[in-house]
Amino acid sequence: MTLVRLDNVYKSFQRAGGPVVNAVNGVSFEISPGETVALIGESGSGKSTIARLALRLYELDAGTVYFDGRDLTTLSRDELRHLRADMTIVFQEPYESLNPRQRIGRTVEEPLVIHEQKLTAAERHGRVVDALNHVALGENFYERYPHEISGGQQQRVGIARALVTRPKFIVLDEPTSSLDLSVRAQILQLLADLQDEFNLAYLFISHDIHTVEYVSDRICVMYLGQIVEVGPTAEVFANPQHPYTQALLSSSLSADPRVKKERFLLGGEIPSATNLPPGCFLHGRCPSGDDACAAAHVPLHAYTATHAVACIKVPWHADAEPAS
Amino acid sequence: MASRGLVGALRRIDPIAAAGVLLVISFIVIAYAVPYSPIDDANAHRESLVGPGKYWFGTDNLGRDVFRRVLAGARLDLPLALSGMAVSLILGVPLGLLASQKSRWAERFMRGLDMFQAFPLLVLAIVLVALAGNHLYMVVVAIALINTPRFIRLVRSEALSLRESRFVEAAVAIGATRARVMFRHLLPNTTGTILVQASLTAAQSIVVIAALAYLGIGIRPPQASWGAMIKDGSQGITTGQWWIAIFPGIAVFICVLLFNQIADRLEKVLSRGARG
Repeated sequence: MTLVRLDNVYKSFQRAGGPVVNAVNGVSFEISPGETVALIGESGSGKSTIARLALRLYELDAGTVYFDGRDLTTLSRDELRHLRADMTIVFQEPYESLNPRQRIGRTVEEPLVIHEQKLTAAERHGRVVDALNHVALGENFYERYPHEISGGQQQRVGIARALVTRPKFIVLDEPTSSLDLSVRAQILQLLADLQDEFNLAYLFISHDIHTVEYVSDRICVMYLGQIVEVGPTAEVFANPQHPYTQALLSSSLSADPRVKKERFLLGGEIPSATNLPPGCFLHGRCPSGDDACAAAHVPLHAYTATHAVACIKVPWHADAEPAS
Repeated sequence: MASRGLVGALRRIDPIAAAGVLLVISFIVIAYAVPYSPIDDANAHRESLVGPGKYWFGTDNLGRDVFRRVLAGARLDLPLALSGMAVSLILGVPLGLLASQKSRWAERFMRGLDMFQAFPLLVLAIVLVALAGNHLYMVVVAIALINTPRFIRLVRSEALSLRESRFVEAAVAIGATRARVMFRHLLPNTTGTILVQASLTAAQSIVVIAALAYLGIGIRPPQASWGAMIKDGSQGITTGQWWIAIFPGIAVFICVLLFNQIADRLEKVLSRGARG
C-alpha cells in the first residue's frame, strides 16, 4: 500500500520575459506509510520543487500526485486545504518559517484552530503542550517569540507545528542543513523517534549524503529534475549503478582521513535547466557516454527487483522489459 | 484582542505613547472647553502686540485674538484629520491586503487605482461637494479619497514581499485560508509601515483641510482652522505681522510631532515580538 505517489510529474517556471526553467522533468516515485524516502541531488536539481509539488503547494504542469488514494490535482482549494491536516512540511530555514509576530504557542496551535474546530481552548492548549513536549521543548516555550529561541529550538517548533494535527506524511525540506552538527543529530534522532511513534511517512530532501544514509529507507538520486537512480538506501550506497550516483557518492569525505578513496569525477558543469541537453542529461559529462547516450533519453528501468536506474549502459533486470 | 492588547500594552509598556495620546485628546477637549465665538471676537480688538498680557499671541488683521483662534482651530482640525486618517486606514489596509493576491481581479483593481490616482483628487473633491453639497464630512471624504490609494499601494507592496517569505508558505502548508494568511500573518507584519503612514497622513491632512478651506469646502470662515490662519497670516509676514501665521504653524508642528511620536512608540510596542 502506498501513501504518496507522484506519477510523471513536470514543473517549469518562467519569470516575466525570462527563459523557461525546467525544474522537474518527469518524476515518479512512491512512499509507503512509515517509510522514509530521501531525495538527494545538488542544488538546482529540483528537490525543493518536488517537495512542494508532492503537497501541491505548487501547481503541477503535468502528471499526478496521489495522497492516501486521492488525486490531489483534481481537488478543489478547500478539499486540499482540509487534507493539509494529514500532510505537511518542515522547512530548511527554521527562523524564516515562523511568523516573527506570533508566539510559539500560537504558531503550534494554528493547525488545530484551522482543522479541529470542535476542540475547546483548553483541549487545544493540551494538544499544543503535548506537541511541544514531544519535541522536547516544554510548556515554558508557549509565550516566547521565535527570535528569543535558538535555531535548533526554532526547528523543533516547526516540527511541533507539523506534528500537532497528527499527520501521516511530512515533507522534510533539508530540515537540518542550517543547524550545527550536534543539533543536527538531535533533530534527526527526534524525527526518527516521532516516525516510530506515529508511523509517519517522510519525504526527506537533502544534499548531504551522510544524513541521507543515516535516515532513509529508500533513496532517489536526482539530476536536472529527473530521478536517475532509485533503490533501498543500503543497496544504492553499496552498489551505485548510475554514473551520476557514483560521482556523488565518491565526492563525500570519509570520517577517517587516512582512507584514500578513488574519486570518480564528472567533467564539465551541470547543464542549464533552461536549455536541457538531448538524450541522457548526463551524456556530455559522463566518462562512458557515447552517441547512443546522446541519441535517446533512457527512462528508469529495473536493475534489480527494488533498484532502478536511468542509464542505457546498465543492464535491464531479467524480469523487466526495456521500455520502447 | 487587538484593542485590548494595544491599550493594555500601552499602559504597561509605553507611558510616552500613552502620554502622546492623552495630549492629543486634551488638545481637543481644551479647544472645546475654552468658549470661542468668531463673530463676537471680530473687530473687538485692534492691538497687535505679542507677549504676556491680554493677547498672548497678538491679534490678526481683523483684530481677533490669535491665541483663542489657535485653540479653537483644534476643535475641527484635529477631529477631521484623525477621522480622515482613520477612514483611509480602515478602507486602505484591507483593500491593500486583498490586492496583494495573485488574481486577475487584483490586477484590474490596481489598474483602476492607477486611473483614479491620475485624476486630480482635489478637483474630484470639489466635484463631489458640488454634487453632494458642502458638508463638514466632505472634508473626511476628500482626505480618504486622497489617502486610501496610498494605503492600498503601501500595504500591497509590503504584503507582496511578505508573501514570498517562508512563514507565509508555512501558513498555506498547514491549510490556512486566504483570509487567515492575510489577517494573521501579513497584517501583523505590516503594522510598522502602516503606523508610520498613518501618522504622516494625519499630519498631512491638516494641510489638506487648509487647502479645502481655501476653496470654501468644509471649514468656512470665520470658523477657525490652522491651515486657513496660516494662509491668511502669510500675507502679513512681509509687512512684519509674523505672529498671525507663526502660532498656528507651531500648533500644526506640535501635532505632527505628536502623531509621529505616537506612531513611533506604537510601532515599538507592537514589534516587541519581532526582531529589530
